[in-house]
This record gives sequence, structure tokens and C-alpha cells, in this order.
Amino acid sequence: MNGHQRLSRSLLLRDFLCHDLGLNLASARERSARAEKDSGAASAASSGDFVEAVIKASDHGQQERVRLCAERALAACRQAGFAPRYFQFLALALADHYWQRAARDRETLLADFQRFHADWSRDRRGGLKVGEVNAETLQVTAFWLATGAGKTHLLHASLVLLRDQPWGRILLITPNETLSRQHAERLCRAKIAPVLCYPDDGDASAIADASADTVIILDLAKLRFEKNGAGVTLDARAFSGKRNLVLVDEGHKGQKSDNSTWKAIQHLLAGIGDSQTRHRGMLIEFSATFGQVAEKEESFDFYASSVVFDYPYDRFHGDGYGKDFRVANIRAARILGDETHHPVLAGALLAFALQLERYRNESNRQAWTEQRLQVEPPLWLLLGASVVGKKPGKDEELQLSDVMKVLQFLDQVLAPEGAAWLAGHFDALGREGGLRDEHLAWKNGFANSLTLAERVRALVFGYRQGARLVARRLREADKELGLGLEINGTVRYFGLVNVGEVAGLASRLGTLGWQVEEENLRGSLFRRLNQGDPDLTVLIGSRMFAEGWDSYRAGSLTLLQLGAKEGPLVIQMFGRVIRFAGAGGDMKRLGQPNEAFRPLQTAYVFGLKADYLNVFLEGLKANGLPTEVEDVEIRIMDESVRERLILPVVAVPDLADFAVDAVGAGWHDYLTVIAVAFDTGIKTMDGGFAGDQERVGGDVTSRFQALVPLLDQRRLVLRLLGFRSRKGWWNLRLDASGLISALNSDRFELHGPEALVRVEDDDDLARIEDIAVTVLEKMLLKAHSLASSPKDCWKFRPVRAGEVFPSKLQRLKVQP
Amino acid sequence: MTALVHTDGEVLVHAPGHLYSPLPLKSEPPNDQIRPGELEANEKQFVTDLIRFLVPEALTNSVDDDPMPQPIVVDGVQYVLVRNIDQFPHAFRIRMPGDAHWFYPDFLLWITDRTTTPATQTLCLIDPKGIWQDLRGGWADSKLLSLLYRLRVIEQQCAPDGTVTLPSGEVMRFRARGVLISTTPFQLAASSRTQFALAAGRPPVSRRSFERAGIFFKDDGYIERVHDYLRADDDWLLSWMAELATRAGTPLGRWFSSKISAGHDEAAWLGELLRAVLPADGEPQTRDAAGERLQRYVAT
Repeated sequence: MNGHQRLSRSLLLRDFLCHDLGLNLASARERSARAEKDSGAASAASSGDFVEAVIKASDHGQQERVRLCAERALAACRQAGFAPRYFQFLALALADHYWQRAARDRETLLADFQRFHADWSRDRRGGLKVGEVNAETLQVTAFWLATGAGKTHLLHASLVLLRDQPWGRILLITPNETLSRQHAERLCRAKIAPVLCYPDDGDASAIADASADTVIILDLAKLRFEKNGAGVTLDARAFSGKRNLVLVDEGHKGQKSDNSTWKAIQHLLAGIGDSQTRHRGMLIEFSATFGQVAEKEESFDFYASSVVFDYPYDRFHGDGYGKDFRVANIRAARILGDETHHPVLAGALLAFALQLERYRNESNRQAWTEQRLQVEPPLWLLLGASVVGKKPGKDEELQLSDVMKVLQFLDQVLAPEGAAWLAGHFDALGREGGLRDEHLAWKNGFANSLTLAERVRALVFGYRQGARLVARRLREADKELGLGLEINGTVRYFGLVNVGEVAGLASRLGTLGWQVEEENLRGSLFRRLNQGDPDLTVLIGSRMFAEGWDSYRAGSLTLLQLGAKEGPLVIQMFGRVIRFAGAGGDMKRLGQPNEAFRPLQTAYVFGLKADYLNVFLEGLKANGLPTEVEDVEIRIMDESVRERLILPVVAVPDLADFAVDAVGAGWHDYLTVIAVAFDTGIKTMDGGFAGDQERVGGDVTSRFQALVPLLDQRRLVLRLLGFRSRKGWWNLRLDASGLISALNSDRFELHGPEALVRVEDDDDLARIEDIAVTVLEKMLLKAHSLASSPKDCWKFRPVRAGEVFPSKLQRLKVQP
Repeated sequence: MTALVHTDGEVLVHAPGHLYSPLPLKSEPPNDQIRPGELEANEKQFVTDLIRFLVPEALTNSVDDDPMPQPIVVDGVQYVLVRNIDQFPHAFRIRMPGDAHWFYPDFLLWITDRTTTPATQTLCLIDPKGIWQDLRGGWADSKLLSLLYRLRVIEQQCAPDGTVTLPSGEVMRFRARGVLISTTPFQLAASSRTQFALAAGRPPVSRRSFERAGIFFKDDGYIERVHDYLRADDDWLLSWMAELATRAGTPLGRWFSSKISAGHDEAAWLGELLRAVLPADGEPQTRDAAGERLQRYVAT
């Protein structure tokens, strides 16, 4: 049994909390997942369905306590500015119960926990045992969530639940500065607490001056036991001697022996086991990879008694979240000599080009739009050695050599005769080169490999005859090297290299005869890419992408020169590529996508080193993912029966057959009133007909409408046009007067707390605009559906094989 | 193969009358998972109840290793059930009235009665956990109206004269029915939000009226009442719904058509109409009494 499996079967704290609350966890998961599936996370949270789900899953006498922590959890999410998924909700509800009890009656809690531990250990005949539970145990809480499962949100909601206790300091510790900034930005936006992001917002003296409720955000590299000369590092001891709340993002770090200092720093900051009770604070850890670090006995005990809730990758994937994935395990024998990366890169390029082809296909777009799926323009992410490196010098060197290899490959592909060169590689590519059925089918659909290579060049890079590859340094983004094609004197960027230092790369390129030019354009290509610019399709990256970068775009991942022992990091990188926005942001992929759509919800992972990829796959198994899929044949009723079964089939109207005009005043008068709720529902258990539902907040429609004149009409139109184009609804017309008229109409009701419609600064105004967009999108969705449904056309046909029902089943084998 | 009732930990079972075999059941990790279309507990319960009702002996008989799926035939009436998989490319779906989304009922059941001339085929849409969340929208609930009203549109478009001609040349009378089965017992549903949403100024709704609208509560004998509802032919509520669906063919249809012209939301009107005509506790259940309420409602 590996660390993941051992830990997931031994979650003592989680079991204790469920026992203490009289909560049947399996039933709570099932019911809350069902509530989310039926009405969406936002509605399940605001309507009280989540609360009802856990109440129904709990013992009769405990229901009041369950309701209390469930409602506190939801209120915290509301304040942190998000609607929780069911697993986030359950995690917070359990944590809240734990923290509430710990704050109120620590001694009794410990006694109860110890008694439960004794019973639990006795009941596990020959099973895994977990070490002693003591006062220190109560100081640590850990959340074990799959990468991509919204850990950041959970962290912020935890802050809301805990911030009112008397803390000496509140510290949020992240793996790097980028993530520090991301946290700071989101915390500021949610107005959870004052924020100080170190070192951006001030130096050590600013920290000393900050109020006790300020959330001090810093990355772990900034903390040492001694003040050294590096300038921005801080002496961790300066924070001790107070009752601190310490939240650690990516808490798995520091469990390895060479990182034990870091673990000691965490314990010091949180006052774990401090001799003085009043200095004992709290440590809250968040990670996707506790399972890997729990290989060691000591860590196993630590996390078994501190993980409050687990939602590892197997559940995440099993619940249908995130993209599916295909990993190309290129055999070691192919990796010989210096040019061996070319076939891997060619395979990865072909797989990625298919994603782009499918993304740009108009009928495909119509189909996914109809299913309300959001699909971001696909991105090819190439990550190199720097994500592993330990020694900066060697690291930099390795990374540069990786980047160089990729650039040389691109240079060959984009040379005037590059199509023929690429076609040569495509010819040789087959299944053993990592291609899947969909790629081979696509490849075989072309007359020859040359036509395919030309298509790929045009799709991915926008290549046209006479184009020239250029690499340019960006004036305002010193870590970026823009990659583009110059056609008739104009440069069109298709991607960028993002490395620690462009100067070194530029000089290396220079020695190879490349001319690195200067770009005068303002701004950052990475930002443009992040904002969804579909022309930017290639990102050659570095360490920063391994942790925290939050984007739905990456669809293909190519890994270069990675070491063999980087399990947790690998899962982190994997996390970049499996994110999927789903329908209406529900993060879910389709259970049975059609072949045209499948590549858009699949992550294609190609790697260069077989030894490394084996570890990668082992890592996934260890993360609990069923990796073996077995087809199960089914037998189907005889055709003589089936052809006599009448099945009505709907044909939805063509967009040309109806139109929706949201133009001018009054277009919305025929709509029924739409309820838009931003509040937390609270229900009492008394039953009865009327008045059994209370809401935090109330009808704020008229207060919102008073703010409508403040809205920037041009921006509003642009955002709704964006919505229209995401939906592909060219038969929808809209204009500013139509939108403003709808916002001033009585065709919607807005519910929420007063603060929702209070305007004091630009952030508030941005929120009002967001609300306006939400309201308008709902109205347009409804209007479009109402206009289209009368034109639905029904015909019947007999039940054919492979329709309505699947032609085979699949068994996903879980590793024993 | 394991028969449906003997499913201790087994995830592949044989369900008599189901269009294909085996049928997958949902399992909690760490067991193997089968996809697509695994049945969760309520769905499995429904299939078991249905088979037990139709052919009590089928579930106790031992099952071959690899049985060929066969229809269930009782007194000349043939039953074929199939799991309808949410979002499956060719699954059966209805656009929900008053809503921008699609409804995928959990099961389709075809009941073919060859004792009539011509034979009668009823396509039944069944959702065994249909109002798990209560009827929040009252009688204007999107799923409910999909089954009560939208199904009438489908009937009229697929079989304008009430019959269809199959590719084999055989002519059949075609009907469609739909039921929602509540996993909440009637006592609970009747006392809470459901009633609140439904009543709005009228006395509470009786179990009989729920069943009239195709909503059943899972308790003793429910499957027999569901079966009777699916087979019954003289349902006044459905015949009025059919008139509304014609839009122009009958006075009631024309009245409705005038209400929803210019794209007005049909769901809201239908919800109000149902509230007005469905008998409350203590009101007579007859067609005539309901007809009077309907006339009164239309007149106002």
C-alpha cells in the first residue's frame, strides 16, 4: 500500500468529527453532490439545499449542531466571494465544528477525541494504527484537496471562519511570490481582512506596524531562523511568542528531510507545543499531496490526525471534474542521441493542433454552446527542467538548454521548407509515439503528411508563405521573450517564452545565430495570453507554472528533462493542465463527449524521459486514480424488439429560424420575473407552510437600480457581446438602450445583503457591473430559450444500436 | 451473473426487461466503477420494485452467466425498460418549459399492448428521484411541466392522428406518459415547502392530486399506482393539456395561444392553471368538478 492509500484509509480526525456530529459522511457526500448536480453549486448554497443535505445525513438529535456549522460554512463562502462545490462545503462545515469546539471547550474536545481514538484503534483489527492524540494535535488542521479543486477559495473561507478569534498575528504562507500576489489580490477583492503582501506592500517594519487582524502574506523562501544578508528574508523567531494563526498553502512542503527546517519554522510560528498555553496558535495546511509525504511514519501520524476532510484526485476525477487526460509514455529506447526530442515534440504538436482544429470548428462550437460549456482557447504548455532544479546555476543551464531545444524545433518547423521536414516526422509517428485514435483518424484524413504539416503550421502558428520566425524581448516584461511570425513587415505573436531571465537566453540564442529583437509594444504577452487572446497558443515556461497558476487554457502539456523523484511537483504541474471550466463554470467535463469535442476536454501529456514518465504515472496511481480501464461487453435486446420501440427525437431549430431582439425599451416585457440571489439561505426546521425560509439580506432590486446610471454602458455592451459570441448566438441582437431598459425593468428581483449594493470605491463599482452582467445574461438566456423552444421539431424513430444506450460499458479498476 | 436483488457489492447485474445487460450499479470507492449510466440507490430500488411487481418470480430465479435480455411480457403486454443517461449523445431529452435547460428522465419504459387494435404503445418517462428537492417552482416546476405538457406536444408531432407507422409497416397507437417519484415520504413533502409553493392561497393538495399530476410518493403499493397511471386512458388532466398543446385546434388551445402569444412564458400560465384546477384536500376529484374550476379560471 502506498502513502496515499494508507492515509486515505486512516483519517482519524475526519472520522472523529463525523462521529461527533452524528454525520454519515457517505450519505452527506451523496446528498450534497446530488444537490449540486441538480441545481448547481450557487443555487444549492443559496437555497439551503446543501444545508438540508447534511441535515438529512445526520442523526436526529444532532441536527441543530449540523445546521449551525453548515450555515456558518456557507456564510463564510459567501463572504469570501464564492459559491462552494459540495466538497468544499463539507470540508468547511467539518472544520468549523472542530474550530468552534476547540475555541469553546478544548479539554472536553481532547478527551472526546482521545476516547474516540481508543475505540477506533480497537475496531481496526490488524489495520493501520495512528499515534497518540494530544493537545498539540488540536493545533493543526489540514485540508487534503485535489489540485484544481479550489484550494484557494477554501483557504479564504477558513480565514473568515477563524479571523474573529484573538490572534497575535495572521500569517499566510505560500510557495512563491506569484501565489502571494494572487492571494493578496483575491483577499483584497473579497474584503476579508486587511492584507499586507510581503515584500510588495512594505518591509519588516511595515509588518511590525500592521494591526493584529492584518493577513500577512509571504512565501516560504522569505523565512529563516536567522536574519541573513539576502535583503528580504525575515527571522522567523520574530513572529514567535504570540498566539498566531498560520495558514500554509501547499502544506506538503517541508516534510522532506532537507526541508525539515521549514517544518520547524511552521511549528515555531504557530506555537505548536509551546510551553506557554497563551502562545499556542493554530496551523492550517492545504495541499493536494499529503498522501505522498505521508510515506514517512511521522508524517503519517501527523496528517491522519489533522486532515479534516479529503477530496483527493480520484474523487475529483470520478465526480467528473476537470479534463480527462492521456499520457504518452514514450519508450526509453526511442530516447537516444541529440535529436530524440524532435519526435516527441512533433507528436505533441500534432495532438495540440487537433485541439485547435476542434476549437475553431464552427459546428463543434455550436454544439458545446448549446450544452452551455465554456471552452477556453487551447494552449500548448511546455515545461522544462527549472521546475525541479536545486542548484540555481545548473538549473538555469538545464532550463536554457531545454528552451533552446524547443526553439530550435520551432525554427525548423517554421522554416520555408519546414512543412516537409515536419511531414517527415509525422510520417513516422504512430501509436508508439503517443498518438491516440483521434490523432490517427485526423492524420489519416489528410491526403498526405505534407498537407497535414501545412495545416498544423497554419493552425498553431498562423503560418503563411513567406513568414519569418522572430524572437523579441519585451520592453515592459523582462521575463518574457515573445515568439512571432513576421509577415510583410508585421509581427503577429503566437506565443512566448517565460523564464527567470531573458538576457541569458537572448545571448545564448545570439551565439546560435538568432537575432533577438526589441519589441516596443507596451505590456506583457503573458497577461494577454492569460486574458484569453486566442492567437497566443504556445507557452514555454518555468517554475512559476508548477504552482498556483490558475487558467483553463492549457490543453497540452509537454514535459522536458524532468528528474525521476519529483512526485508532488509532477502532480502540481499536472494540475495546470486538467482544469476545465465546464458548463456555467461547474468545472465538469462531459461524461460521454462526442468525438469532435473529446480533444477539448482531454489533456494530452507528452514527455521526453521515460524514466520520469513512469514516475509520473506511478504518482497518479498513488494519488488513487484508477488507471486500468477494461471494456465490458453488453448484450442488447433483439432487433425485432428494438425496431418496434418508438423513440421521439428532437431537432432544435437552426439559429436562422428564430431571432431575439434585446434592443430598445421594453423588449423584456414578456419575460417572467427572474430571481437573482446573492444571499445565504437559512431555513428553520419547524416545517409548516409559510415562513419556513429566512434569508440573510433582502430585496435590493431598487437599490441596485438606483446605481444603474453609474454603469459604463459601453463596457456593458462589450461584455454582453462577449457572452453572445461565447454562445455563438448571432441571431441575438442587443444594444445599450435595450440592456439599460432591462436593468430598469421589473423583470428581475435581486436578493442579497445591503453591502452588495453599497458603492464606495472602484471595486464596488466593478461588483455592480458584475451583478448587472449576471442579471442580463440570465434574461438573455431565458429570452433565447423561449424564442427557440416553440420551433423544436419532434420526430420518432426506432431504437437503433449505439443510440440512447451505450454500445459497451467500461470498468475502471481501482488498484488494490 | 448476479440478479438484481443479489447485489452485495456487485456492480454488474442482470435486470429482466432491461434493453441491455448487464446493468451497472454505482459503488463507493475503493470498488471498481462502471460507466456510463450506473444506477444509484433510488434508481436501483425503482427497477427492483418494477420488476418485482411485473414478474415476482424473475428476481428469485437464478440467472445464466450471460443472459440475453428479453422483454417482460404479462398477459400479452410487453415491457421494455432502458436507462436514459444524462447528457449521453443520443439520450432522450426534453427542453424544460420556462427554463433554458434540458431534462433527461432517468428511465424510459415502453409498454406495448397487443390486445388492442391497432396495438398501443406507451412511452413512459420515469424519474425515480424526481422531486428530491421538492417542487420549488410549485406547479410551474420545469420537470413536471415537461412531462404533463411538453409530452403532449411530442405526442402530437410524432403521431398527429394518434398513430405511427413503423418501418415494418405496422401501425400503432402512440401515447406518452411521465411520472416523477418522490423519495421524500408524503407526510414530509405534504407539510413543508412543497405545499407552500403549490398552495398559495388554496387549501393544501392531497395525495390524490399529486398522483393526478404524475407525482408519486415511494411507499407501500406505489409501483402499482404508478403502473395504473401509466396504463390509464381516460385522464381528464392530460386531455386538457393536449388541448392546450394544440394551440389552435380547440377553444382551450386558442385561449392558451392568446395568452402566450408574443413569446410569453408558457410555464407560468400552466402553473397557474394547474393550481386552479387540481383538487385541493376535500374538493371533489371528478372531471366535472375540475371542469367547472377550469371554466371559472379561464373566464377570469
